[in-house]
Amino acid sequence: MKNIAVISLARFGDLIQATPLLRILKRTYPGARITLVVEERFTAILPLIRGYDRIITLSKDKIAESIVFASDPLEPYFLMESFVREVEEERFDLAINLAFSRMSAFLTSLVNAGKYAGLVSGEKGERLIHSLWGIYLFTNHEGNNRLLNRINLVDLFTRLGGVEPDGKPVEMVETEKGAAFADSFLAKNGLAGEKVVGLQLGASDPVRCWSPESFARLSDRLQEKLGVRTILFGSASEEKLAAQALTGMSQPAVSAVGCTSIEELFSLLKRCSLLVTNDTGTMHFAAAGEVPSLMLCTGPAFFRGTGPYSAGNLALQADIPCAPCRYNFNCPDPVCREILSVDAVYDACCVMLLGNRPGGHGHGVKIYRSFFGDDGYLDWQRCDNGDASAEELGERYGRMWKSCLDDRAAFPPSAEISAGRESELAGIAGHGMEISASIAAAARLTPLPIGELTQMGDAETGVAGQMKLYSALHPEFAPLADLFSLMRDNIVSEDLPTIAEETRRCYAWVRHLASSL
Amino acid sequence: MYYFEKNLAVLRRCDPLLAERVENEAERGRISVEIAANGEPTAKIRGSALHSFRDPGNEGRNWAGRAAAEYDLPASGKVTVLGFGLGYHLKGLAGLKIGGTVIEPDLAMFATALEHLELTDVLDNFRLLVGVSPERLRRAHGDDLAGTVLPHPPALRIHPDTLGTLQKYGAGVRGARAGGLKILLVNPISGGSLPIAHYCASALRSMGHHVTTFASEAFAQGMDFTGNYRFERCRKVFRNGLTETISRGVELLAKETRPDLVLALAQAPLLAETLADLAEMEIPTAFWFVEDNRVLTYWRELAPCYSYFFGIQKGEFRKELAAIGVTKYNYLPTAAAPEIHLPIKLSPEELEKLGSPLSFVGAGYYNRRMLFRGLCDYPFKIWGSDWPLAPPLDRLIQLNAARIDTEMCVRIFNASAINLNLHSSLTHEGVVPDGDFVNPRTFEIASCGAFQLVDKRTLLGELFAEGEMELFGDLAELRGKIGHFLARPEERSRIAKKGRGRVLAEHTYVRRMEELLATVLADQPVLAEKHRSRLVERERMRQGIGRQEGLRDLLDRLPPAVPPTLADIYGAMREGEGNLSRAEKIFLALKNVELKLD
Repeated sequence: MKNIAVISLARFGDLIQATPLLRILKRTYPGARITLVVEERFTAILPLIRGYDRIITLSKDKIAESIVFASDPLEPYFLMESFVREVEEERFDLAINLAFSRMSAFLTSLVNAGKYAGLVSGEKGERLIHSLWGIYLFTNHEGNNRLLNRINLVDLFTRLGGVEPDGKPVEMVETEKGAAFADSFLAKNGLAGEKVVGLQLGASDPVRCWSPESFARLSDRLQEKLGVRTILFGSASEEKLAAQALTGMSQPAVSAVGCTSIEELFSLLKRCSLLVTNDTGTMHFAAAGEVPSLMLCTGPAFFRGTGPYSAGNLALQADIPCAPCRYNFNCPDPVCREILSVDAVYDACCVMLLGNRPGGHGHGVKIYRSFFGDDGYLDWQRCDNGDASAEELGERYGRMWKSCLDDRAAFPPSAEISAGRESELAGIAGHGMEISASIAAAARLTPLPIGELTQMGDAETGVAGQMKLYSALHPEFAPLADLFSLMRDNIVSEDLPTIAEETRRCYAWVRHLASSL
Repeated sequence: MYYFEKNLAVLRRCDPLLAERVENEAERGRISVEIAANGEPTAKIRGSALHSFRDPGNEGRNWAGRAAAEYDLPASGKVTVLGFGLGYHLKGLAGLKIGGTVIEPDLAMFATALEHLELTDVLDNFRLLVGVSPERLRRAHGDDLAGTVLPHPPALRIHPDTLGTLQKYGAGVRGARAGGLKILLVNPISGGSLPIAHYCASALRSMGHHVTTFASEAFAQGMDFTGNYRFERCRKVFRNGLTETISRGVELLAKETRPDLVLALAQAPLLAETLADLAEMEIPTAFWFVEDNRVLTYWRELAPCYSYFFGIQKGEFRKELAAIGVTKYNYLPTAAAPEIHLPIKLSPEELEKLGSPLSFVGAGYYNRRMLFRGLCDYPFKIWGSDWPLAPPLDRLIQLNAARIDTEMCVRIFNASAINLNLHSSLTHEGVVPDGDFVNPRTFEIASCGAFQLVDKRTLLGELFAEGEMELFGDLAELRGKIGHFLARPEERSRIAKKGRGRVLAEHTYVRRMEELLATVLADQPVLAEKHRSRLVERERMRQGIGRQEGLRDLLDRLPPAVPPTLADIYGAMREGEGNLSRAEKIFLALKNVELKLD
């Protein structure tokens, strides 16, 4: 592997979450040149990131403006084309698309690569997902399966790249300018030499935000009881939240809201002992800066998939059946935010700052601590003495995905089907395998037995439908059924024997995974 | 004198009308001619030298040589020269076999040149536009102004307002014809001007400009709701509130589309506040007032708010506008849309139903009702609304005075031997004495190749030449002409054909929009430069099409001659077959770019 492209065109945070992937690719393929393809508006973070050799930037904002305002449709075309030309200049051995947008799919299809991972557009514009890990990642992205997902996005990126996690956190490098700013900021605000706790007030969605009033009370209590100082973090658009919080404080925090560039934010965070945060990008900065986070999971925020990627973080979640809720759910009564009381959050801060034991279940809050397992993946362990039995299925899934999903194997190993509900699904998949095999055989006959093939095709469709129905009746198996659907959608051949063989392969994978669950 | 007579003889051959003017009107002797060092004549006007005082002939030849090199002019190339002077520079061009057109504002200057230089080569090779008004030059000689224009610098110094403006106007015409401007066109909510707005949009698009229309007519029903109120005060509040909302809507659309120009047609619902906001956004605005300023007076409040004001009247109106601070007023008569107003062949049934020896299409204004009483003895059909269904006209009125749409108008024009065209008046009893503006109907009937008798209007003579239109001044004259022309179908046909020719050459909405845009571009150097850069970029992109795999093929699927949009291209992609080309993938990536429109 000499030339690898990592395409990250979705979110700012993805770049931080891709740092282990870059690190491990560099270690696995020491001579490889890694090209990062990113949006221009993300480039401010690049001086803080290591592991790449070249950057290609997409001026998406400029292109978007051109789409809206240009009088000639060729203007945005040529803007996009100049980016495509830059990407086309090289031939890559591997192109990894970390995003799941259709735009990134079409652009990745224009990258000249021997192998692809992730979402790519096919020759007729169809959606193709390369690599089993890419398909798994897509089921999490699209489906409702994320609650059963135990694998952090960072690890998924790593597996998408065809390498294994190494048990080390995300990483960024401080710049001189950032360090100078941070030291100056602390000095100017009387914080030099003080123990500082950062408070991240905002998030992309109000439903993911703990109230500014709660942050205010927490800040007062931390300052009063623990003698720490507090800094408010946030972007310029969150200044209103900062003002609300400061109004509620009897001992004002220092506000860095809207005051910092990317490098300055990172450096300032590095000088904190703890970050108390909503589910937002700042916690990834903290993880990269080896600062532990206390992640407040409200609304749909779920630490397992997108929590800070380092050991020693805590995540708090309300112990109610609806938490976390699904994306875009308009909750009439978001009690999860109230259940994360100031008391519970303060106690968790004491755990992190003083080494206290986590509080009992009395607060109605579940507490989890992050750690790296022996397999190198990030995991979270419940540590509030609550009942963790409900998480057992998720853990089994986690073990199953990690051990079974193998892109190097075209066909999964055959497995014993043990008794249990999994065996029903495995049985359906086995039936699907048989029919597909029969179709493949019949499709090679001359003349083609059209009638028989039609009947068998209907039967196979019926089995696929059975699998869907089964997962609807038993949602705990939905991840497997969704994986199957996506694998089946990925079949683009127009040759019937090939289609049948590929379909058989899809069933074989589901059978294997269900048997391994 | 020798030169004069010789030149005049040549001129009589080339342009007899101009020769006559030179003989009868030119102030010969006004311009004093001196002798240069080499013995050739030269001249000064108001202290400014027209030619070299050392060797004017050589200077003229050098000027011509430099111009030919700079503009890469071949022999037999055509140019437009601004300024005749004594003609040395023109002789230089003629010596290089380059000809074309010369524009000279001063007849006396031309006459002086004829007196002092042998100009046969110039007179044979150049068309002469001497003493022609700038307005006429803009309207009738746009092609000359848009071509390669070579200003004679001394002439430009002497006539900066005419020749200097014409030079910029010519650049404006080139810009207008090149397409590529983004125009937000604001329609009126209803009324006779609404079709004109549609014609303007169509004309601008056919010229390659990108037109976003604010279809104010969508709010016509809302405005009709005003009638539900009993009290005038309530009606006023409702109507004003709705107008404010619509006006604000135009501003929002301007923010979304960032046009180069906002063009409003008469009674478009644009308020002064919106116009001020558009000015703050540095978007020039133009208004084409296509109504009688004496009847509809809202222009008093709004005209000063526009960057440019165009109207269909001159004289007093221009003065009144100047008095309220409107300095950028331009006369711009209405026109016809030849793609709509065209000659059509009708079936015998249609001819029977719609045709008549004498027809009139239009609303029943007072003066028409009065005058037409004197025509009841003719086989006469009257079409249109607001006619009283009472004697003596009732038996002439068709379809119970129902409103007639454009398509039917065109059929009636084509079906009728004589179309009567009487400009409306609420107060006069027939022809309006000193009536000035020319109504759209005049151009539309002519564009259909149909014959019309139109009442005399002071501005008609500069729009149509003799033999292209037949006029009447009163009922007696009208009756005489009806009798004459009903008996002479070939003469009707000849006149109608000439009239149509004039309309197609000078009086289409494409020409009007060209004139309007050229006027704006000539006065907006920043916009003109931005437009030029955009055209250069567009040309660069067009040249790059061939190197883009699949792009030419994709663009070829689009309808020609209409500037495409991204939506058009996406639509064309649905017709594709086989694997996606590189260009298609790039467009699909564009289609999926997230647009944050907050």
